[in-house]
Amino acid sequence: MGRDLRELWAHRELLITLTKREIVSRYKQTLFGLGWSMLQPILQTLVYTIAFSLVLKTPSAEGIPYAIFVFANLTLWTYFSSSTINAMNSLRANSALITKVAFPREIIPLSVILSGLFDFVITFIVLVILNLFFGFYPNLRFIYIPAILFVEILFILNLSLILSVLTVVRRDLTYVVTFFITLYMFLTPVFFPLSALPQTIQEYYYISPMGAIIDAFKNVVFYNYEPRWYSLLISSTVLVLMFIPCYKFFKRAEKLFADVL
Amino acid sequence: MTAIRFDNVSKAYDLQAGRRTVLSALKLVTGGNASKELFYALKDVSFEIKKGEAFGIIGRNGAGKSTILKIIAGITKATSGSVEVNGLVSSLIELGAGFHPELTGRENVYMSGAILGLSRKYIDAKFKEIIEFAELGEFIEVPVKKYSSGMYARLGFAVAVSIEPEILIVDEILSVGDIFFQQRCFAKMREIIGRGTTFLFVTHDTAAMQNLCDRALLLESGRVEYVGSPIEAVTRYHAKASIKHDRSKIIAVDLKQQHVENKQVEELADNIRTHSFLMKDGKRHGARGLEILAARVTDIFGKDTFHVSMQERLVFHLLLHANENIAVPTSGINLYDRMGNLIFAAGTPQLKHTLPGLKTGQEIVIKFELTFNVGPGEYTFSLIASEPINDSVPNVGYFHDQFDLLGPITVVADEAKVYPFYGIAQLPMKILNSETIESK
Repeated sequence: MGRDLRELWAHRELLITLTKREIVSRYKQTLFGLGWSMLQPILQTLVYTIAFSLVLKTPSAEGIPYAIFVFANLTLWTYFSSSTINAMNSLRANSALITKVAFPREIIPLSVILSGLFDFVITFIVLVILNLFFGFYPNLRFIYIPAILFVEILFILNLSLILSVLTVVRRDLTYVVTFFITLYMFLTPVFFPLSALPQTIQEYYYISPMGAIIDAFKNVVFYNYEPRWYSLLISSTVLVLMFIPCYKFFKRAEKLFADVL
Repeated sequence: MTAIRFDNVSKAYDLQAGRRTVLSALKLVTGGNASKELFYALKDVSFEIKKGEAFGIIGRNGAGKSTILKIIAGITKATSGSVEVNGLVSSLIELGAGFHPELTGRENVYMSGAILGLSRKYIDAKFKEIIEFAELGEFIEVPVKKYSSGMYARLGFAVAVSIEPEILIVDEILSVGDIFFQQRCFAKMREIIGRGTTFLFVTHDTAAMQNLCDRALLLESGRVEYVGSPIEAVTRYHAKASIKHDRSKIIAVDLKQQHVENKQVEELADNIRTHSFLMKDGKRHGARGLEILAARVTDIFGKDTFHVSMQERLVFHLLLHANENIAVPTSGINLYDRMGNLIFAAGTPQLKHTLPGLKTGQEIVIKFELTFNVGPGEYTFSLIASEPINDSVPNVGYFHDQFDLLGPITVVADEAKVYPFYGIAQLPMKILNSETIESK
């Protein structure tokens, strides 16, 4: 594993270039370019606010207007769901590269995850600006956000290492995973406060990675509280430990990619 | 010093792979559960390539050539046997493999550089050389999806050869691009080989292989048939089966009989001027004391063409202009094949023809008739206006004006008939005796 990581480090330039390629190629063909990164979550929020808040009268978390509550949750959630799905399909999408050039293959899903980070940052800036209108101002605890994000990236990475390999074998997996991600979204929950869920599910909230992440983010951004450290710590410890077998599995399967793709 | 060594290498592909379930694939990854439907792309392949050697691999489609390359490049692993590769490998398994259609040529150069493991700094230093070789001009700032296949290949090749690796792998790339690009590719590859780079060349193109490689391997259905001299390998390759020809046929055009012999010289000169294919900004050098003003190439009936059948003739019309007094003007033609080899060159001195001396401002029309006793294929040519230096060095001249990389001229063969000869060019040959001997 040490050797694999060294090899990966030696190819860092490729990782940076591929990440840039992901970002640039995504926006090159569109009229609004970067504008979509900002517009998309705003439009989504609009739809959810109308559907959940105005029509279904869904309550928001305490003291936070529904629109920015959902926007904040979506900022984290969209990064998780789209990066996981994109990274999972990335090996297939880049089969031309894999069958023609040799390099550490984890660079491909990694570049997808890192390029998603770019969208995240843009959406986050929009969130900060929106918050100003509602009277929530940036605070010192914003320095915890990279730590929260780190947990999320690690979670996406672990999932991607496993799922991308399996997708190489069976494409159907994309549909299955999309279903479970949607289910997870409602259990996390993204569109309504935790109190709306049954008690039994609430107990698992703080040990579920996305639950811990969304909770910590909410505390920092809106309440200026410390994150629930124990909950972040549980998730990150589990994820760091899980990373080793996930990465080993990926490196082991890697040798077969060129033959199967 | 060994650059690459294969010891009893076999490679099996799993034919079930596409039908596997996620679970059985998992077992495959974790070892065990070997597939029962295996296809051996390589079987017990052994060979060794020394450092600095130019090594060729030939074989029919599906013989396993690409599999060998993929194993060397580290893209796939051998199923059994041992593989040793010493040195930085640059694999040109396919030109422009890492190109992204939405990105510009410039962005893709950096992109490919990163894929091949080069730093940004290194590419910065090489960038000028790369775009010069690729001859893309302003297109370097255009997304590559707008490129023609030739432009795409040029850029891919330019990037690949700029790396200066220790081992360069080239797979079937010379089928792309026009003859001018191919000639430059060959020149570049010779330069790379000359530098002492280990060079591995995989191709169907036996002529190109013989031209470039020191040793060759003939592969047949995943097994090594022969390793040794390229000539022997090619001979065996051809002997294995009759060669398939895929050259497209040129449709014959109705020719109008035209007689040009009695026309006035001035009319001739005007004709050359109006039909001239020379371009002012073409590849050209010389001080132009004697200048090539215009030129045309026709068939023997006077129709402009660059197409000719094997053993048929083309007429080269040249219009020269003296910008100074030229006592003994000379002129000639060079003919190059697709690999840039000079196939034939001759002019007025070789034809023992002395042109009249020219005064400043005078013009002269010269018509050469050249019989294409050469193999089918594409050729470029040069036109030269020159002057001998003095009689003591008859083979050295002063070049007043030279146009290079003209054409290409396509020489076609009638595939329905037996070729008049095989090889690069026809040499005079006749039968002296063919009497039968009565058996006793």
